[in-house]
Amino acid sequence: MRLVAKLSSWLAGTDEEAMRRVQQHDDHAAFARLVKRWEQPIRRLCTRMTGEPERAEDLTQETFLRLFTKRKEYRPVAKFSTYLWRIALNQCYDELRRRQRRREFLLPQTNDPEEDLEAPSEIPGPDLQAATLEEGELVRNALLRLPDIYRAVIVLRHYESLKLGRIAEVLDIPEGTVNSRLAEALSRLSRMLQPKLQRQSPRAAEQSCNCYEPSKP
Amino acid sequence: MNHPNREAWVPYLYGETNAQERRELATHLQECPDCRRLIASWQHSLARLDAWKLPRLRRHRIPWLAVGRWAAATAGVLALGFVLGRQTNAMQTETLRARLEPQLREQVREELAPWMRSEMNRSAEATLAVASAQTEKLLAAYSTFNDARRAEDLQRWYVAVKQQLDTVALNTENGFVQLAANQSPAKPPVQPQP
Repeated sequence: MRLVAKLSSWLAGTDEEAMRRVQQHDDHAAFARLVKRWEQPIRRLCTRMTGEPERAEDLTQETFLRLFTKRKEYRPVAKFSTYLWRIALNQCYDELRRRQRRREFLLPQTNDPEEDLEAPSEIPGPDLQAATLEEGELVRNALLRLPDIYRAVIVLRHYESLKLGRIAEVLDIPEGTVNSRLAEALSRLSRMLQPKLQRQSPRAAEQSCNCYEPSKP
Repeated sequence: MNHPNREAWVPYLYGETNAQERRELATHLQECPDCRRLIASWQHSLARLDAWKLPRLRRHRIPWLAVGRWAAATAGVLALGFVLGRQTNAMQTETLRARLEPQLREQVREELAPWMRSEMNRSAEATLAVASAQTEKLLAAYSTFNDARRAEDLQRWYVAVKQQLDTVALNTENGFVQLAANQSPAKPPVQPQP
């Protein structure tokens, strides 16, 4: 499957070449090829980041709209896909910020803002979840309860299979930071998805090992 | 025991370490139950992530279904007008009917057939024009398929169909006028005969 995708992309020209044609000649056909090749990964990213397929649909369109309107700003120093992932992620972050502001506006302030950030009120806690929700929904809720920067690295690495170095390029951060964000994301996910197991062992393990650096968001 | 940093396990987990790092981490893992538990819990969580399946992604299409529905509605209205026209003929007196029916039928058919054909052609052309314009816009900006535009298209179709309806009404009226006109010269020759 991957071989077929590679072969077809080789036959149709690289993304960078297509983007150059869009940039210099407003080539609609080249732009259509880019959209066709990338709309599904971008829509998946937006869906995983926001948790809402309908909103993700809009964000995908906004991403490509932005790609086109800002086509003159693209510099072919990085891979095209790095550039596109970055635009899409920024669209998602904007959307999540808007959502956060709406929530703050609509709901009375809680005493502990950290808690409010990590556990939006419409998402039930782990115990209730385990009893009532099916596995897919459980995972979705756990991911949505992660802070955005942790969810982003999980989505890019696990669901979109980007190498750690590529993620560092997309997010414009050192690879070490990608690793520590992923470590933190995985620990938080484990606490949410395996609350019983966590109460017995790995959290204790993390505490007993003085080598584990204290986790910082 | 000297444990590796927590983030050192991330490339290990994803198979992105070099051979030497991998060997060292694997050796440590064999000796350290704490790290083994940590990695096992991460792996367990990672394995569960795949349970979140996304719905099958839909591809946008030109709303042919809506277009077809409007076309069918238009054809239905035209057919209804035709049938009504015929039935109105049937309500005339026997003699008039006997005389006028074939003539009227022929006339209506002659008038309606090319008109209907041209109307259908025109609506087909309009459909194609709308569709290709949409496709063009989609390629240009990828923002064409939002709800507002779709609503606008529907509005356009509504106006077009309403125009067609008006034309049908007008034609039917014209038919009646002609019918009346045909009726008055037809009467005098009927009466003196008996």
